[in-house]
Amino acid sequence: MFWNKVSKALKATPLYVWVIMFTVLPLLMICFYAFFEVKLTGIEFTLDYFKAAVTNLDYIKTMGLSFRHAAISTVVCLLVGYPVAYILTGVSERIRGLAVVIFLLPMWMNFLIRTYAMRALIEKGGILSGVFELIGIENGTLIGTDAAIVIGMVYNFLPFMILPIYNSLNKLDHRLVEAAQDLGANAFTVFRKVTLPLSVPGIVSGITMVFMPAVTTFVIPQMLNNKVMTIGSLIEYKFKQEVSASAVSGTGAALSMVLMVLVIISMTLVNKFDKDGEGGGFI
Amino acid sequence: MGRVLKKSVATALAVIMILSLCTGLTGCGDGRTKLYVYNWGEYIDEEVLEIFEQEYPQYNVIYDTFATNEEMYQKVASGSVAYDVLIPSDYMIERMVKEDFLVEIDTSSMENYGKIKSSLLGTPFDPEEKYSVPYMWGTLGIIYNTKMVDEEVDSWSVLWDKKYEGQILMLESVRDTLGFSLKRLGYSLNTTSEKEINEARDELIKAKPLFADWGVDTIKDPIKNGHYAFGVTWSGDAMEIMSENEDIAYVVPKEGSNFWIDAMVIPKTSKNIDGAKLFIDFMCRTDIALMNAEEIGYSTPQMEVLDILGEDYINDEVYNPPEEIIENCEVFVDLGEHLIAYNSAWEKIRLFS
Repeated sequence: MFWNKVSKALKATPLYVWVIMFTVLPLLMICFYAFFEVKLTGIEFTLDYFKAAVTNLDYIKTMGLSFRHAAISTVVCLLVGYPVAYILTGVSERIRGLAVVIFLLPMWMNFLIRTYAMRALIEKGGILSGVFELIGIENGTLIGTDAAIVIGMVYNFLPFMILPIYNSLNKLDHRLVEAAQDLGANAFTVFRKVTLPLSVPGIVSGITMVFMPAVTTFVIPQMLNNKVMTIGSLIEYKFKQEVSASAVSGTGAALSMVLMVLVIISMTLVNKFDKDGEGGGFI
Repeated sequence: MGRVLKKSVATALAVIMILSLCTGLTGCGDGRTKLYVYNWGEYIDEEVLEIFEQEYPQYNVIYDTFATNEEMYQKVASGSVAYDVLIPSDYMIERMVKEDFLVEIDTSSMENYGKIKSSLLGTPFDPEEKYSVPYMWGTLGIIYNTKMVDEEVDSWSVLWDKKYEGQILMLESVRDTLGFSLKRLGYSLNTTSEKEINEARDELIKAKPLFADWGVDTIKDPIKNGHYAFGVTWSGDAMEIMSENEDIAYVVPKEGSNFWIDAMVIPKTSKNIDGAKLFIDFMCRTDIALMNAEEIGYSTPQMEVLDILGEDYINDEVYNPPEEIIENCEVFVDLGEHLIAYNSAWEKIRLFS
């Protein structure tokens, strides 16, 4: 019995090691650097970094900006992704497999390369500026606009919206739809009363999977619109700027904790919505 | 029992094999002394290392590269490798001198030291020429497209000119970008006065709406392809862009700018100071310095090399800026704690507000 348990525990060791090394330890380190100041004379507890992170108006505005970018991108992903997922479940098996592959294909490429490609498309001299020229705009470009950030994020994160919704729609018991139809519901009512409420779990996990990386990404905005820093860029900058060789930015650590808490709060709110939705009349 | 024995014999053999592999890699039992050299990536003609080993068969050069001064500093400070020769930049050399990290180099015994351009010696990071020997150098300036700009560009103020709105790609580099804003106002780019730094900051915030985008490497291609009129970059990059598009010009504005020097130094970790000195002198030898200059394309501090490169290079104000331009420029000094003022000014400029 005992040895059985030991062998079980041993089998899980790689998992524990992984989680400790890449989730628990980094989190603890961020906490440490956010709350403690390392000096030659010793380690001191401090709330200064947090004060700096939450009282600096520029940081708050930057956070607002990033949440706005992420929210718009998530909404666009949902508006584009839901119909796509819906159509995918409706087509014949053979086409469906092909269609899923087509939507997943970009994900086989590194996202950095995808973003470079997007940059090439929308920068001056790219295909988009050719289109602009057709309608009379010389040398048009989206580089340096908020639209570029949204386009870049939607392009990168759309599959994360489509897949969960597609999964929940695919699992949907078709007899429920037939029952609704038998009871005289028209197509719109069936969708509103049956299909949509039953796909809420998919929508919620889609939103989670798009919104979280969208808030924190720094590479996409840096490559498509580097005119202002997003919160991800600010944290990156905070960690990269250095005053002395060993100084790790406490403010950067505090900022990432604040951001983490904000993301957790917004995701909890979204998840609540899911439970309410499952309970009954989601209109 | 037999299986267990077999297994342990196999394990023992494997251990022996791995150990012998290690010693084979690090031991090099040929009696040569190892010389550890640490340089920027793509910053040498690697053939010169082979020539060095041929001419001085007693040495075996172990060559490593780094991407930033800070990375170099961390690794050297950690002491994991006892480097003999480093090639960092000016302000980093100054910091290492301050921290008593470098060995004094007796340049009088160096055959090739006298060939170095004198204006590149005795600069603020090593005023008494005790610790460093220049390797490459360059300036910071404006690149612009002569087809898109009619006027004579000679001042940083052109980047504040409203008629070029959306035509300017701005350099994203704390010290460099704030540095030229300071120079434009007539201040030192090493100033520690917060009033001056904030003035330079406010000027950049004023100009911000004119900038189409910010970046370091991302600004090169759009300028080269003729899509934007202005950019801010270093002379080495400008040379590369100009060689591919002849409409592009580079200027070091009249208010002055930054000029940088990467130089060879010997850290105190060195166990082979004579070999390190020999290597530095070797790198300054005209034929060797010429190979390096041709391979990497940055400005050489070696006068004889410049003569061999010829008129085209000597008269090229980008490659070989005249004395009055250099005199008008400043080398970065290590700011220590004062860097905080620069960092917070930078945040104000770069953040959404």
